[in-house]
Amino acid sequence: MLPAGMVPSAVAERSVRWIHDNLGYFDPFAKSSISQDLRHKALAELVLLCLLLRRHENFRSLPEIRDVMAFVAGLNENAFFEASLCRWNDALVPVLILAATLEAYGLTSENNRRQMIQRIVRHSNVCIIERVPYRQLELRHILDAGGFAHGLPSYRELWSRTLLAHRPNLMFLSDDDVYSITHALFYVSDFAARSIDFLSPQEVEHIHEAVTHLLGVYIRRKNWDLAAELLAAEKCLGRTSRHSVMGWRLLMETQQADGRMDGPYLKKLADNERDAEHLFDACYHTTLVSALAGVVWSRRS
Amino acid sequence: MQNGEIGRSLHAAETWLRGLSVVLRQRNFSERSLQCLLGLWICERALDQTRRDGPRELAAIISKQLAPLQEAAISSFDSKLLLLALYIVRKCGYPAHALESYGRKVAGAFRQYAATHDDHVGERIVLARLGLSNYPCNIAVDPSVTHAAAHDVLRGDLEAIRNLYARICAATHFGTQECRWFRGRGQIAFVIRVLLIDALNSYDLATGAMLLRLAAYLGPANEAVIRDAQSFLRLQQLSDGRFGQYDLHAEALRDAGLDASLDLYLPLTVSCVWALAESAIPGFRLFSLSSLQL
Repeated sequence: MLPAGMVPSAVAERSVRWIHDNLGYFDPFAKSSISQDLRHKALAELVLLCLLLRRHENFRSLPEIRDVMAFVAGLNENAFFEASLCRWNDALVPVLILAATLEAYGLTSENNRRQMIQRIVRHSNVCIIERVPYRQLELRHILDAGGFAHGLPSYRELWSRTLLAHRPNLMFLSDDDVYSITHALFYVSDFAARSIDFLSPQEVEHIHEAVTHLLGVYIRRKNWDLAAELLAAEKCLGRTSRHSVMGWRLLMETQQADGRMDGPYLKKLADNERDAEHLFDACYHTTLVSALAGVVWSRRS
Repeated sequence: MQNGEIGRSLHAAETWLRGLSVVLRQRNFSERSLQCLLGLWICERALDQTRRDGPRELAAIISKQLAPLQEAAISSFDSKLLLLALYIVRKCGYPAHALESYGRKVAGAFRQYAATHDDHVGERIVLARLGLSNYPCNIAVDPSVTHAAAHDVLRGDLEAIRNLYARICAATHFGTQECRWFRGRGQIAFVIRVLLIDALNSYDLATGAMLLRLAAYLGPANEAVIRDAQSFLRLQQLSDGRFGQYDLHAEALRDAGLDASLDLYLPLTVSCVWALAESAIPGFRLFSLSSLQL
């Protein structure tokens, strides 16, 4: 339980406001000094956030979300998505996220890709190419979320190949390793929507201990990106800790008035690089994951 | 982690320290000799308390090197290190007049005060073992090590960590006593483990070793983070026994006028053997009566 006045959903709402105000930067087809790949990644992450926001009455009815989804539906008409789906293996997950989210909001256009996606899943290499384990979990999660048939191994089996399943030595972890830990927990728990039933209470306890220690480390490092992910990961385990309270207090204190959360690389930007595009580049992910953490911590409706 | 692995690690470090003591014999007396002596003492006491040969040779050399020196020549050295060195040299059966004089002076200064500040608990304990002072019961421990203060340290700098270190060492008499009066002790132990992960993950081995000892003082000793930290430190041990993968910086150290063995590897190796011994060997504490007796 968080103390009164500490409301994760308020962090999420402010983050959503910033996202709404910076929507144009998520357009991968707009002219920009930011790489197109980064914008595609940002768009896919935004759309996944919208899918999670849809689960909560108090978020899905936000006027900002209506605008965001209208923007996403407009982008969906671009021929790029269908073409990429047929040409590149790594396009599947972003296109799946897009399709699942648009369907969840009832915004499926005539350009319905469901059948094409299902054919690709069945007949192409997308499910059998080699991916790191948490990416395989990600694929399984979004296929399930979108209601697509597939022959991927069970969550338990995919989990057993992850870093976290092997009780890693925390002293050796890189930031990328910690991202793989948080993401593995997101996918196996469907972002805290279901309990991880193949783990024993003792295993959950050990994992929670690792997650809370890492949360402390990233609070110390003022890395709000991983701190927010680890807060969400705690909730995916169905646990909270005294560090969660501290984490939420600091996230609330750190969030800018316009809803932006400063990313870990912001301080590396030179003064002459602090234009709107670079600020977006440095902060969009941290703002998105803060919203995600707020959503995961909010009671589902 | 098995004590056997820690034992092999301490043996290797002891071998390296012995080699270094041969180098130190050729040099003028310095604080480095005392650090090496302490490292050898820790290895011997942690590995096999019946042995007598560990630091004896170096103690004899230090005794000889100290003979012409006055107390003033050593007064700028770390006071705990000086008193521990006095203890070790004395126990090895050699005279050390400058150290004796220093010990008496410090003991006299402490007698002026009913209580001792947090920072001087180590000195008071060793003085008591030396018979120069009573065992320190009236340590004025700052009671403000609370949940909130621990959280402040979590976001604090190295100085804040050192202050916490001093307070916990005082409260636990360097891990030889239960610390009963800390409120939120579990939370403090948690914060120390977080700081430990952060330090070792950032490859700050010296701070990590210090925090590993603190984590062991507050327990529990079999905690996963403590085992991971021991494993991490052992993996930083080179085949010759010293700790720290810094050889790739050797040129930069030379350019800065530093002797890598003495100025970098020696203090780090002593810190690491101290931390490994206290965190892994049941009952071993440098400042306990059994460790300070032959």
